[in-house]
Amino acid sequence: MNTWRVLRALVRKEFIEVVRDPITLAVAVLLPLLLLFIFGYGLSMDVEDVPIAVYDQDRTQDSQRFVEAFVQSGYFRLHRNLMSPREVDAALDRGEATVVILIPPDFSRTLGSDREASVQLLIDGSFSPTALIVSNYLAAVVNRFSSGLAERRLAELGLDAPPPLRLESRVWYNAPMKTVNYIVPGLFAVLLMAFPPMLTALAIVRERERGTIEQIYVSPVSPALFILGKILPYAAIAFAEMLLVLVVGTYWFDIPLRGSLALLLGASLLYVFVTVGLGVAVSTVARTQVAAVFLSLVGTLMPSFLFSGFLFPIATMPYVMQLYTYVFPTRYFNDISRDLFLKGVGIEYLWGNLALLGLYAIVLFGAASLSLRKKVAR
Amino acid sequence: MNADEVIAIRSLSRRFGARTVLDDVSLAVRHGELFGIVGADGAGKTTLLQTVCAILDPSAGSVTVAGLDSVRDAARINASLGYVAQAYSLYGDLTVSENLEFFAAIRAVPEEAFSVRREQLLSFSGLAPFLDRRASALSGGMQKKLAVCCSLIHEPDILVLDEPTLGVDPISRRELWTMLRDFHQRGKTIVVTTSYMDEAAACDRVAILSGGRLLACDRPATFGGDLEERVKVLLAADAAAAPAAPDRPRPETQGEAIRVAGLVRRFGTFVAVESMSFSVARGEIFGLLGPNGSGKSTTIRMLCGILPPDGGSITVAGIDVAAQPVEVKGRIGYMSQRFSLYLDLTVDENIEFFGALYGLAGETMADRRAWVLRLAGLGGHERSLVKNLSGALRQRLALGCAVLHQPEVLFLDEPTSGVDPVSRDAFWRLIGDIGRAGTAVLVTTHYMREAERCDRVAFIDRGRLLAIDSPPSLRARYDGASLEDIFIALVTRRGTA
Repeated sequence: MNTWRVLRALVRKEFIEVVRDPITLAVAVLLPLLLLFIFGYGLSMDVEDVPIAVYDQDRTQDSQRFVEAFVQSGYFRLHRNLMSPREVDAALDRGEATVVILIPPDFSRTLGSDREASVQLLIDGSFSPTALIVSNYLAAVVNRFSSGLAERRLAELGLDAPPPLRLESRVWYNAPMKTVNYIVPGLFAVLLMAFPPMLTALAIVRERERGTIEQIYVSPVSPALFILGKILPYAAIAFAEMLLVLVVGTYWFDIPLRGSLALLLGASLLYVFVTVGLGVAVSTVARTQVAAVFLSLVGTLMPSFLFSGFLFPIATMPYVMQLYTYVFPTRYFNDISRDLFLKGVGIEYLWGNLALLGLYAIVLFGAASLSLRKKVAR
Repeated sequence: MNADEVIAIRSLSRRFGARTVLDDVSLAVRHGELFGIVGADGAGKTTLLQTVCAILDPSAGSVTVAGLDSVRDAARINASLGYVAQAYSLYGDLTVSENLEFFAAIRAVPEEAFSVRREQLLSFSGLAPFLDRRASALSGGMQKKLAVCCSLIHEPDILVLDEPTLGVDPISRRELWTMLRDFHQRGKTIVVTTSYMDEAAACDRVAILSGGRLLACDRPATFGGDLEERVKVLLAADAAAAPAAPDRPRPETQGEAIRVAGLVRRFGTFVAVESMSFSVARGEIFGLLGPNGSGKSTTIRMLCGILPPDGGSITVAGIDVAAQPVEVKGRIGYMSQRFSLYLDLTVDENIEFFGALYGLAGETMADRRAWVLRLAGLGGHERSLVKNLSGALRQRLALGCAVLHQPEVLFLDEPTSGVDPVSRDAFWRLIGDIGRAGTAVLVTTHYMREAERCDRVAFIDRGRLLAIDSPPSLRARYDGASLEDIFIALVTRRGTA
């Protein structure tokens, strides 16, 4: 059958063009690596070394011990002491301190009495996710401090403290709670949606713009074969891109892969056909290369950031947006990737998502082949 | 159906939205015929070819090719045809040999047959020495030859070509036609559109299209006399345009507009322009003629001050271009074959924009705007978007925008490429008007008939000046041969020497 020869020629031609066009090659290889590093380093929600400022109106041993408790927790560092209420505002406004501790003048006295002592903690909430974490950490420090006080008071009275109820929370899957551990596996899903669709769409629209597609139209090559001749090389490039970011991402950022590597690669292969297929879909709408770039940005890159659960948990989205995430395939691969990296689950938990990706790829290919009519105009 | 007819077009109409591009066209092409199609820009030539190739469906009527209907049997028609589109349709990043291999593969040419045909086509087209060169690095003429080779690789019975000689120099043009005639002599059918009337005259039959309708279809001889003149009359009558008035004589002008002495330009080891010297008088129309890649565009770029020369001196409008490249730009106008207009702006907006670039404002601007509209015959089109104008109107607008600031020297780089004979004629009258106003015009063209209208022409090849004189003196020197024959004789003699 001649089909193989035709397909081979189509694929070979596409590879030659990519290799001889340094820009395409750079977009395919260097940009994903660049994004990997930008996100791996830049997008951390880990809370450590939070600067605190203290307005201590009490100035006693008790108040100093209280401040010391925060520093000893390891999450906070004392940035400086404030001298007036006006400095409190300034410290937060300028962002010198994320937290300001206000200790009232009677702090030590009330601690020694039967009344409840109070302190005020001001938290910079302009980025709410970290503010929430910071506030939890602060509460933990304060709790420990006050139970220590209680124990001491009881000891002074010659009484043993009753054994307290100890909370033992243990974090599973990402024990050190490092952001990078879940960013990088999610980033694979996003990166494969960022560049492969754009490159594929450009490859098709370029032929239309330059007129080479007319030669395809007047040849016996079928639409399905032509589309396949575009999908295969770009899927291969995208898969190579996946391997590259996988190797660099796991070794450089030291991300543990708990699940099966074979399963991850298999799922990537499936996902790559989906992303490249989306590029083909873009090309059916875009008439010019510029339009193809913008359509891929808006149609694939942005939703992959926003609606895949990569950065923002799907569960907290408005209902309509949640529905949209079901339509957009990045969500499924994002889940697969994170489950494999962090939970190490097996195929018994993943087959549903895998099947959806496969279905997606087939539908895209079918629709593209059917919609490509070998005509220069309708 | 006549058994002889290999292509039968019956009452074919094609509309794009509200625009009718083909209107009730009926014609038949016989087996083994060399069939030419001529017509103004926008007459529907390309659309007609695309329906024949079955890559565009008719809005009404039918097209059958070898008895196959273009809508139902598109795939089988595709397989039996070769199509050379107006765009080069080659993969620029692929080499000559890779392009041939690719087209052979998608046309399912058997391996053994491919190697035989490849050799034949390569030796015949003269592309053999360039096998490993990328298609994008070939000259325009060679790219066209490669495109024809790629379309012949599967030995089609019918070859359809859309303006294959557009922008191709006279020598490559002759070589291309030798290829086509050879193919034709093997009993194959050729359908070709062209804006060269000598090419049309060499066809078995010619169809003349105007505004989507078929004006005439017959053997060239039956049109009588000079085909170009006959076609001009037919097209002009159809467009109800005023018949062309002969050029008015030009007054003698004094003074020098351009002086070039010992000009040299190298790109690496390649010498693009070699010790070139000539001068152009004020108001003179000077033709720079040469094959693709002979150094015409390089010379113009240096004269405009956008490419520094490696040696020699250039004076344009009394200014030393090397010393004052910025000053010279206010005194010259430039128009390339790409027209450089903003398609999404209206005629008025384009004029205003280019005027503002040259610092025109207020009353001067209004005067010049009115002058350009009158000169280019664009009255009534002021508010039209440029992308909706015909090629001929765009061309005249581009010329108008290039002379808005009343330059002392005007450079025109293949300004009439792909424009029909009537519009070309009108365009050359405009050039004459501009010359009479005292502006020196330096123009390049591949149409040797146009070159006859220059006051003087210079033939250049491989960066060297071969001859420079007025067309009548040149003809006298070469026993009355046409400029085209002189051109070919000069260049090939140098090539074989």
